[in-house]
Amino acid sequence: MIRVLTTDQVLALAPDPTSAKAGSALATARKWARLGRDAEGRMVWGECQGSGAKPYQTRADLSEPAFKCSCPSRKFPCKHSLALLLLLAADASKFGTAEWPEWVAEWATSRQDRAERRAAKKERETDGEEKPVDSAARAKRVAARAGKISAGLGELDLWLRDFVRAGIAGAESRPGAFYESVAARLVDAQAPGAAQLVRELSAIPATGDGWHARMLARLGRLHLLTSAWPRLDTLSPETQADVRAHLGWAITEAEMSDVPGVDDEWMVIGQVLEDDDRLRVRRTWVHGVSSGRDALLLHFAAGTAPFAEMLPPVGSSLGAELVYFPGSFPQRAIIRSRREPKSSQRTFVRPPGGQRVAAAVGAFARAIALDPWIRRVPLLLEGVIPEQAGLGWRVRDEEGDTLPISPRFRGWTLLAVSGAHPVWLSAEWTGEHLAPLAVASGDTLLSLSAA
Amino acid sequence: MTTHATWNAIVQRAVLGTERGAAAAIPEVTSDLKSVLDRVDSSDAELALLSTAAIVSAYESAGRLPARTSSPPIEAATAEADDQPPASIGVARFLVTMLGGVNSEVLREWFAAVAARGWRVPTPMLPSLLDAGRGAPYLRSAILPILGARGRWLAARNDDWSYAAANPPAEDAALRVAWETGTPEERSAILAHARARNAALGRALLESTWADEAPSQRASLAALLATGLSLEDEPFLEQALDDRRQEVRRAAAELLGRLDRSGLVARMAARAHTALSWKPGRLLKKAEIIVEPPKELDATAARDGVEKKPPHMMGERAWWLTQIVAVVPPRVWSEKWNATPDAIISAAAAGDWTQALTEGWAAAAVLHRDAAWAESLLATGFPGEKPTSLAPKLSELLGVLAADRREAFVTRALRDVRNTDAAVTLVAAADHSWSEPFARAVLTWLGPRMVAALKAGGTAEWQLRDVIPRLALRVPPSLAGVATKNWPTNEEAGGLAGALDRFISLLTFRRELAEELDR
Repeated sequence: MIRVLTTDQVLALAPDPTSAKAGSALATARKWARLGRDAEGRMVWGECQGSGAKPYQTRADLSEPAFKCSCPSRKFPCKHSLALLLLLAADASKFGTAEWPEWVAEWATSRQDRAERRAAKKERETDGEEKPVDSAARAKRVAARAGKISAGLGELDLWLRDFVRAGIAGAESRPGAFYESVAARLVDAQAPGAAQLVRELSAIPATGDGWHARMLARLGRLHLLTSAWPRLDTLSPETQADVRAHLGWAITEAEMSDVPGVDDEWMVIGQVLEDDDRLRVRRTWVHGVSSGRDALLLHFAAGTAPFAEMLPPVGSSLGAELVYFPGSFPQRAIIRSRREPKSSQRTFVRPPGGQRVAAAVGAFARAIALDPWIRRVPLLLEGVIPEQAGLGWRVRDEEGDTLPISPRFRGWTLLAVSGAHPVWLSAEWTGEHLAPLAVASGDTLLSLSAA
Repeated sequence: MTTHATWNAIVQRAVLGTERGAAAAIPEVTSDLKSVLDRVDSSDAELALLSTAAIVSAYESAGRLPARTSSPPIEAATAEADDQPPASIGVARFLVTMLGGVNSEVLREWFAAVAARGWRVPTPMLPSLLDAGRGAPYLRSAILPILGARGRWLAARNDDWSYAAANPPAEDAALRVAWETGTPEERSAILAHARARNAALGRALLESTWADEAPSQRASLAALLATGLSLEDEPFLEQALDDRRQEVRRAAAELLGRLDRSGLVARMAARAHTALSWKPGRLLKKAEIIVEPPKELDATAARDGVEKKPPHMMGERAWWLTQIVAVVPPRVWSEKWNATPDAIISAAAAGDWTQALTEGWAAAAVLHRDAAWAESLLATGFPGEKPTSLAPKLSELLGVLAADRREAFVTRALRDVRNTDAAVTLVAAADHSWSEPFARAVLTWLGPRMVAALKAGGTAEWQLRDVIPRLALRVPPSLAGVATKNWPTNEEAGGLAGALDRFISLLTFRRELAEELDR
């Protein structure tokens, strides 16, 4: 059964608010001609009158969803594609059931061809791995990459030494190139994770009081990576996996085919979008209703392209088998297979296991003891009260234990929803700051990190 | 040494750099960390610093305990928050869209519809709603009824939202304290509230602090007496006519002018009677108005708010006459001269002071809500062959008419083919919620009108482009499907296409909202 997306879900596909707005404005039947859909409910299409003489031909494949439009926009999906799906969400009866017009059939065929080519290629690769010749080639590739990483980390080590020899006080006046040059070197050395860690250093001097300590702590963690790498073989398999993951050489999904998965109803407890110039990162935190485990689903999208995987909104659940990446404190996971959730109920039921502040902080301590590079853990806090503290915000529990909320977070919505009563709250905890993800409000879970 | 002190010492060393602090040894620790730190090779200063930093900082962050506060939590919102049921998620979604800047013209309609059903805004939307009211003061009175107890509680916690925080105490004594200690915005809200509840109490509050009010505040506070205005306010307002500040005098004169039986209106009427006299018509001779405007402006007239300096292109005497006539209830003339408004207006049209008199009467008809005079003035002024000086007052004059009279008047104007520009102006001025028959009549009339305007171009097209989108806010939403039947298609609409799109999307949005409200 192919889903017709709701208005909310369509708008969530928009690459930016401007596109969402423009798409909404175009979502009126008057603008469209020859709206149609096929009997299976897979393809929908329509012609939208633009400023030019020829109408734009817009088509979407709902099974993915995928889009194609003849307009010149570089945004993806474009406003016409969004409008087409918004129209469908608002009133599907405007779409007559018909055979694919030629321009829809062409697209469907080319997509089919491409999918087949991809599948064939994958098959060849999978087959190939079993051949001893290729296995030798693969070992050669692995060794080459390891060599590159060693060289890159060697340079990072020198850079770190120079940094502390000259004193980190000087970091305030360092140009961006100071970090960028070594980060670029690490990218070349195929250690993008380490490159990212270095890039993040450049923002620390601007973070106010105590930045020296934060900088040194980060330098220490980087040093831990550079010193762990040369003696990787002596470390436990879990720690080896940690080091590789943080360097940016995590094992591939194909390599995870033997790892057993965890089948559960995964409640989406929060979602964060981070926008880099080149890359958008979506962090989705899910909580297994039966297993009680948390997992992080990471998705990436280049530029304004949509995220490939559609996930249910915060507060809903995802029926799926997840596979955790190996490590000492497995956190990140991929979806091996999904099914329709068991219950279609829209009301949010608090998962058991909500914690007080002290217990939640204890959980973070256990995580960092296992994996010192860990950046953040999800917390499910029970019975916390948001309040203003000086210029910022914090939460407190009944015992009076407090956690500071990230200074970037505007706490008013949280205060409005809670009315200063104790609430159930999901959040990311970095050891320094709490970034609230979602708050229980009546029988719904309200996302607090909406972009 | 505690681990924390050790960490601080390490940071200190790193800040300076190993090349400067080479002599200083890494501080000793006594905790169980010692056995780990002992394994660090201290012969290489940089390596030792980085290793120690890695170990101690991880130890530190793993062992960090949450800060504990002993200060009491803030007073939680009480269960009053359930006083009104929240608007449904579907209805609230429209608010989110509009607060995001799309179709924000419909905000007031949303506020009114939600208030009429006794609902409140769902709590998550309160911050952006309160922000919207902060940026747009004209929305505030519509926002206040739908905040619910939770919204008022929240507003009291953010100075930016103080306009909505005032939950005026029920007891007079507490109200007095709040009045004396509030911020300017809270005090405005308290005074408005007090006036609505008990006009005398409100006036008493204002009088109790009047002498100490900042001059800049006085005018806006005095203007709040408009709520519950009565002759009992006259002594206070009379005294405000002698205020040093012109804005205060103007506000007081404006309020006294609204009171038919105030001394100010009587004084203005006396001045007007001196200036105007009626010469009834006789056989073959039309009635005349003999006009003798004041030659001088005396101090008492100036005190009553008559301004000396005329606007551009207007003579002093005509200006004074207009201002005097503008305060006198128009029915005074019909009664005194025993003539209909039509007869009086056409007599004035034959004389020399036509413009000064009609403008004065128009202002007076609006001020005293005199529908008979308003309709007569409109009938002589519109639709006319040439624009008249009443144009700026058009919308206000139409507003004095009851909705059915207003619609009947505009409908007649639509049939007048001589001057369609004036009819468009009238349509634009009818800014109430239209009845369905009237809306149908206007929309049907607009179709050919657009075709003609597209052909003519210029002002006619420009005028429609401006007016059409606004009409979408007045047409009953149920007409969204049929409204545009005889309108030009997208391809034919040329320069009006944008306006038509705007009209359609606004009306469709309103229809969707109406459907959601009834769900």
